[in-house]
Amino acid sequence: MFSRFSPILNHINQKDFQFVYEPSEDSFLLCEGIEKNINFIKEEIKPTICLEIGTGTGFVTCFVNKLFEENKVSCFYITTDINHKAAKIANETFKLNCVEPKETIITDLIEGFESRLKNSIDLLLFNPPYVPTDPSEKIGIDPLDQNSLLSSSWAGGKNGMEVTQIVLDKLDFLLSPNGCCFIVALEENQPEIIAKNLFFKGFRTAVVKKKEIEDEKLYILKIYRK
Amino acid sequence: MKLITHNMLESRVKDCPDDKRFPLGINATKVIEQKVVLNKQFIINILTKIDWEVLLEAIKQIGYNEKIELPLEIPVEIEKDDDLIMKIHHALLEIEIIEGELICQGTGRKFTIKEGIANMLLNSEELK
Ligand SMILES: C[S@@+](CC[C@H](N)C(=O)[O-])C[C@H]1O[C@@H](n2cnc3c(N)ncnc32)[C@H](O)[C@@H]1O
Repeated sequence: MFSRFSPILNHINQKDFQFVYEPSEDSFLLCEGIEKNINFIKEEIKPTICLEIGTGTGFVTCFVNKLFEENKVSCFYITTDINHKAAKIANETFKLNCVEPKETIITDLIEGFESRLKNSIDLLLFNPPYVPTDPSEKIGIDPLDQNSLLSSSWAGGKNGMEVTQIVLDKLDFLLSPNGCCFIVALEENQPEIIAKNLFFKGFRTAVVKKKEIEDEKLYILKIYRK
Repeated sequence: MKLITHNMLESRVKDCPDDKRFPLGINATKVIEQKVVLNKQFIINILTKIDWEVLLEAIKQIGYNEKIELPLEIPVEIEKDDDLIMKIHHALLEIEIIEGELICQGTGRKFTIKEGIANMLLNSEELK
């Protein structure tokens, strides 16, 4: 992806991508979806806190930080990842690209933050593990299995929604009154059903980007209060 | 880890009584100070979310209470006090705990901070 907002990733070696998700079409599409909404973000959200769950290399938050700087939007960037190697690399990415003020925490989704961030998150970004996987395949990280570091970046369980759904269920609690969430979804995640369920919880969902890559149909969903 | 983040984190350990989850204690073995560009409006906005007493206590715990002197309460006319805003900015965003641990006040469970990153992951027995 070539954009003047793309971060420098020179510190990452190809072998790091055995353990950390390499920025891919989904990451780029999420960035494009956010860039497309910059006026909405600037005028309607005026973010103070931007939280990215599962930041991986930190690519998306870095991109957003550069985009925001150019648009005179300044906020506190919190990023989390369940993968400690990802958190370490992301922190280096932020340093190299001068992303400040920022924080990187190793945690499961946003565990530890919930109560104190109640209705405080203005922007929530999540490119989740969205690939449907068999119930026999574990999702998340097994501390004894190095391979689970990478598989946890894509393995999404039933309909690929098991991890994403936990976050969607917390949106009402987490988002500020004007807050907004951008997530990546796959055709198999059934975006229409996601939108319908969110509608009954008081949210609108818009498809801000859509792209077909090989056999994947990717969507970027923007979710905000009605 | 910055003090603004410490002000937002609590212990999710199952056995911790609810009134002991927040704040986490701090044991810092390496702390650095690092310049972050000041954004006055951001500080004013974020102050509504900050637990002031917890911030003061955190500053004490890392041994910075003589370096950063903050009033016991946030003055009403904070917007006009650029000097104080600068100090709050410094306390919240420019101090980084690089090595150390956060301590759950209800159970004593320690969460390590390594290379500036706190690890809040719990094992399955500790989870609710
Ligand atoms: C599809 S990758 C996206 C990485 C990066 N945001 C990007 O767009 O390039 C999903 C990321 O979520 C992380 N992840 C998976 N399950 C998680 C969980 N329960 N809590 C926090 N992060 C999680 C993975 O480690 C991985 O870094």
